[in-house]
Amino acid sequence: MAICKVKKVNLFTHIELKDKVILELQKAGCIQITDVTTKLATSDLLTYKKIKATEIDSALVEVKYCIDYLSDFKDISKKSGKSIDPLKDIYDYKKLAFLFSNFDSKNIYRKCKELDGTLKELKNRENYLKNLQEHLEEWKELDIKIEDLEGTKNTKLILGKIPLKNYIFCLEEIKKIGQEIEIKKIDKNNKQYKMIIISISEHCHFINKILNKYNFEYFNFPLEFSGTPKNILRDISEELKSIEKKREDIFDISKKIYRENLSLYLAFDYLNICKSRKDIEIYLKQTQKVIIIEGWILEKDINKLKKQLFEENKELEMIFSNPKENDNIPVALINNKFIQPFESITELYGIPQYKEFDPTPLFAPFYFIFFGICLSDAGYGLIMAVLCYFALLKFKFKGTTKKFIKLFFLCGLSTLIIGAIMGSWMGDALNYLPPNILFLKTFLIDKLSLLDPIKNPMPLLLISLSLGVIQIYTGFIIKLIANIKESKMKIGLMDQGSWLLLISGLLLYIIANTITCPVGFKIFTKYLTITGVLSVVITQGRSNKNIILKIAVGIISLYNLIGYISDILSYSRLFALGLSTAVLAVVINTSVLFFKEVPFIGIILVTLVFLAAHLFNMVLGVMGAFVHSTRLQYVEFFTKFYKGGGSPFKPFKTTTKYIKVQISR
Amino acid sequence: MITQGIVMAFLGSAIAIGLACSGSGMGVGIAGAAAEGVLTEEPEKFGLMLFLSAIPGTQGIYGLLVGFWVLMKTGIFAGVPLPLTLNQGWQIFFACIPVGVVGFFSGWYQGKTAAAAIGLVARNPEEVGKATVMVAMVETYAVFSLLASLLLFNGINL
Repeated sequence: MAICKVKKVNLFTHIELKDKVILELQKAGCIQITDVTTKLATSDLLTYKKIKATEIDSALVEVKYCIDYLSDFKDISKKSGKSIDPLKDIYDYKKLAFLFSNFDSKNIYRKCKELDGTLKELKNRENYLKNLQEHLEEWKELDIKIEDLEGTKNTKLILGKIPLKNYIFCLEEIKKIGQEIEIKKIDKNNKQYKMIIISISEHCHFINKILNKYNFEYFNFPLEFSGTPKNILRDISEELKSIEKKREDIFDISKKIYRENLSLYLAFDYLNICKSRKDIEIYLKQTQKVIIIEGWILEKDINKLKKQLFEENKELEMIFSNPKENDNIPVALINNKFIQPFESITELYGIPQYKEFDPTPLFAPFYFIFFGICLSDAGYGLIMAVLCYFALLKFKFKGTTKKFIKLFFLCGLSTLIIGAIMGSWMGDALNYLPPNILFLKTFLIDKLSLLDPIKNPMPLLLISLSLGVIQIYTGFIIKLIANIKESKMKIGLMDQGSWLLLISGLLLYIIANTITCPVGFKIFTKYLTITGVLSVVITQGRSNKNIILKIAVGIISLYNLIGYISDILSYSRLFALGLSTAVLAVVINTSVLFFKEVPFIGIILVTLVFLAAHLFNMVLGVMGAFVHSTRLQYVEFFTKFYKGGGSPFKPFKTTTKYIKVQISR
Repeated sequence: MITQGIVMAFLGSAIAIGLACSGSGMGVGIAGAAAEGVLTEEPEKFGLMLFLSAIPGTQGIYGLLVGFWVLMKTGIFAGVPLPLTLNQGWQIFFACIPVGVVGFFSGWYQGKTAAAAIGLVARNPEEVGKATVMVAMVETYAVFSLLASLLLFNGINL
């Protein structure tokens, strides 16, 4: 079947071999190590103390810091082009460890930290100076040195700006305070007067009070500088220039560091590998001399593990056993290469529990057809399939992404086939072909096409609904078989059998009454339906003890019929979506021709708009097709028989972010 | 020749496109605002966010589809409008109602669901499948209204 058989493995080894065995386990990458600390919480077994991984942790933090810092200088340094990318090589464990030991990450960290710090300081200083510059710019005309603005022992100077309309009133009020005050206007802009007030110290307090009342803006002179504002401005712009210069130097140094230290990425991955080995140790238990490791392994990997472990170590013991009923057994799916891409859809919903079965092979054919009907344009399908095919060749995808790309490749093929059947190639674009290759159209449409949903939509609608009926039936039958396999024959017959009877009866009855057929058949379907209804009424209320309740619940359960019928109607979306892509494509082709009227560049515009619009329609169509085919599986199909909610099998293995590590020797 | 029937067909087409696109606009707006919130924290989720906030956009497409189909079948697109009777015009108008009205409300509400789904995916990226299905539940009714409009239109003798 499509769920891998899992075995429990218990591994015992001498404490001194701990690191070596864990390393081998990581290389083998086929065991999911489970936490035994709570299960084996007896006093004579010691928990592995939280190991001092601090050294690795802190190194990892440092390397990460350097990578983050230097990544800002990546794009620029690429242009210089000389750097050889060490990330493309494939490393093995020995080489990696050797390279790492020769790598002085501490030094680089120190450098990066220093550069980063300086950059930040420069930035702060720059902001400060720029603010000051703006501020001083307004007082450029002031021909007094800043250090003189402090005043003397007995006199004070106040500089600032006051709104035009307040100036007169303010002036009058200040004059009332005393004789020993001198006020001078320096300049005005369209809103404010710039003014300077000189007075003896005793009056200052009163003057400030008045000034605050009239929204006076004080000018705070920067005392760290000396000279007139003009001179200061000159100094500032010089300092700004030197900051810019310093920053460029730092950029250059950083770029150089980046180029010379691509091994940082190597170090990052290596440290992560080491860290994951240390992290796993908290799951282990030990006696004085022996450590205990427990985990799950796929049955097919047992030999691989044995080979890997026993090759270098003799002093260990492994026991394989069957999992117990109430264990939380991890689940790994295995399917042939045509079905495998569809696992991504199962994974999105939640993978099956260990005791369930894998629904992937059951829904894969439906999904394949549904997607095709939803997108329903051979041109789009062809583009999709080709794009995905080249993406698979060119890029090395991993895990779920790879599955998805493969899925879209298959769906593209399906769309190509179904689109050809419906005679839609980028809508009706074939009609606009030049006459000398018109035979293409005659072949593609007249020979291959079987139905045209735009001219006559009904057949496609009926096909969609029939597919629905077939899938719902399949769902029921699967559950029936599952029940029988679990030797719950009676339950299966009562729950699924009765409904199958009722729905088949009803459908046949409808068919018998719409087409001409023998009277006997009509009567047969009538009785079939009645038997179905009776069987549902009798069986569905069986959990109640009271006979009246039994029948009442049975009758009420007939209401589910509406649910099943609406399930079937839900498949009409296949028709609607398929038709919508096709019609939109036709609309695009028709409206694109308007651009032909444009003089000179008409034909170029037509081509561009044609491509862009079809691309847009295709992306929307793919999205709709994906969402709705998926939904039909989840909501209409899975609810009939599938639970899900298993935990995926996650083996302890080598995971890297930047580089590739080869494990086999 | 512009008959009263053709005017009704115009009205129908306008309702289908106008209402459905408004609904989608609101929906995409709501979902997009939520997505922007997530993106401020996690810009790398852009693809996922774009996908989720684009789902409420389909109602507008359905409306556009029905609207264009009406224009195409009545010959308005080609520049030679059929001489429709008022009766036929009304039929076309009514055929456009489902996709317009349902598109408006379902687009709007799907936007809300999509915004919630975006919140879910921001915290739990692996639950994107379940989140999408919930959003697609709203879509069902938009698809049905499209279906209804297409079938109603198909029933008109032109």
